[in-house]
Amino acid sequence: MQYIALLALTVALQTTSQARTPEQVATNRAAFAASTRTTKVATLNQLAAHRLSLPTDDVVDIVLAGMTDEDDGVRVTALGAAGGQLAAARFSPDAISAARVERPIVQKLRSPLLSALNDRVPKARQLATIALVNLEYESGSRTQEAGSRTGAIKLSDEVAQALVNQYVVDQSALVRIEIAKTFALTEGPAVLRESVLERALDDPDATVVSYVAMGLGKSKSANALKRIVQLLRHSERNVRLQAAQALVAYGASARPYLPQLEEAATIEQDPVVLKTLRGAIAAIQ
Amino acid sequence: MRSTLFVAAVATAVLFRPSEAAADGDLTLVVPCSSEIYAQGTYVKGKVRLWVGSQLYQTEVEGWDYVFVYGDWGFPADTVDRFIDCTIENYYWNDGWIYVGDVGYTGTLPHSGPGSGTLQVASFIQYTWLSHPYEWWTIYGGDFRWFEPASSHSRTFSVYVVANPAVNDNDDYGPPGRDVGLTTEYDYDTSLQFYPFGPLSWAARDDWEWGDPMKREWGYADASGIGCDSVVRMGTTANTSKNRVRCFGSASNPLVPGSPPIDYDLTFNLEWGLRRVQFTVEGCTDGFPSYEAYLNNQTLFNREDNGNVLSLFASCGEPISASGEIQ
Repeated sequence: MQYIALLALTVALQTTSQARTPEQVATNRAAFAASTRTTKVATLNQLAAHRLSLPTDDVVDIVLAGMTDEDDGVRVTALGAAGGQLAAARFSPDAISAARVERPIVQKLRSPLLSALNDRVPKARQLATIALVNLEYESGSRTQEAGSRTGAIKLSDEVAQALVNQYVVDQSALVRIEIAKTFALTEGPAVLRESVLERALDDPDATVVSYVAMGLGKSKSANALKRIVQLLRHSERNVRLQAAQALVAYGASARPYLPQLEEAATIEQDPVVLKTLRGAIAAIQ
Repeated sequence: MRSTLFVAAVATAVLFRPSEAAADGDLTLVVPCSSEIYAQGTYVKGKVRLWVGSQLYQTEVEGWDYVFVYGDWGFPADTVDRFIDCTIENYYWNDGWIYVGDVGYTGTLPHSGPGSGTLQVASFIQYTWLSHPYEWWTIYGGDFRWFEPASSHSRTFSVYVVANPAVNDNDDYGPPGRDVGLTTEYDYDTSLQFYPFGPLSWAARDDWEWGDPMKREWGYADASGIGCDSVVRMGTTANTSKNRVRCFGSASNPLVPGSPPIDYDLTFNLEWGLRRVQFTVEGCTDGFPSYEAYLNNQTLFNREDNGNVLSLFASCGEPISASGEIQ
């Protein structure tokens, strides 16, 4: 009986292995350079998701080669892979120790990622921004102390300035959204952060404005308080939602604007925004 | 000779009532088939009407004459994409209506399939919450569901009502809709029903005051990267009409800096006819979260997540290939 069970298991395993055809991947820079587009993308995707285990030098070489590939899709995938590798310390506990040891090698990605902010493809610029944020985490500049719950990613002057410069010139809302989100949710050079967020209050994209409200609320920017109150009347629900939460973040400073919050609650149609407005009124009173 | 044929046809013919057929979602136009339809026609006389979907076409014919189903009615050019029932070949005129002669038809004409298909594509987190593996004190609300069509709990959602090209002039019924679920961030210590385990407590879910304790903050992801391209007509086979839709999505957690987007890019090939819709789905998703697609609430594909948030960094790294048919 045991033999039958073992035989059945063996057959099942063989069937499973036959059904799953492994993707072709490149394991070093030379092989990557000689690969087809399909193999390049498959390799980079597996590196992004940490499903391909290679020496770090080879990983960095392959990602760097992908970031300069002529094919837009390969470059985009490579920037995703860079983000995935750099995010290991944040999202995968098992990789934290290894990532710290290999930090000097991974730092080779910093300059190419800054250059990738100028890529002609908006998706590539977005993914470069994401990778840079994760690189800042990886580089140890995070403010969280052991056991603290106030951790945040702290942008270096170099990365913050590069993102500000890109925000000013970028025509793609996709990229500006990612940059606004980054400044809203991270710490960094205060003057740069405040200036770009206040400038972005006038951005034509509503998602950018919603992140601005989020970011300025967290930093309690006195200059922006009145503007955030005005956002309670914005046509987009997420802007109103973030404006209401931002006013709570201001605390007592927002108390003079309770009438505006109450007025917004009387006309609000979106149920989530309405609950948020009521929650803000209760918190500020 | 022609009269004899007509008499013989009367014995087996049924009146084709376009309005009933349209209401049933079935084929409302029957004309000789093939792409050479211009060269074919049928002998008719008097006032002749043909319905194509909800559009009525009519023409006047003095005496017995051939009617060309394109030229005489001025059908739009895309009529060539329509499914034409080749099994019916006998036509004759009586009382101003076209009769369709054949045995076995009972008032509506079969084969064309549903008049439209509601295509839904969604991604969702099947768990009640997810923790950050390193910042363990922070957790994020999930959608807490299994695969189901038209769920109100999803991370990303798009819906597109695609017209059956066999019976419709239009390609769709309005633009694609899209939405994202509310992303919620909670404090781990104060938000679980049975701390340190269990689902999110009702008190935490109903906490709408920003900051600690319980639900800390919330927001919507940017939905501009979610959508579907316009429907593309792909022509006909002997018995079916085909169209194609590409749907795509890209949206990231709005509360986590540097968070990679959920990505999917899926092409649906739909072949309408023979009272069903045959489909293929080709494309890709990320490995996380779970993804699903439905047509008229029937499953096109379900893909369970691999539990690995890092797979979001792959650029749509999981291939999707599915095929089948829905009735």
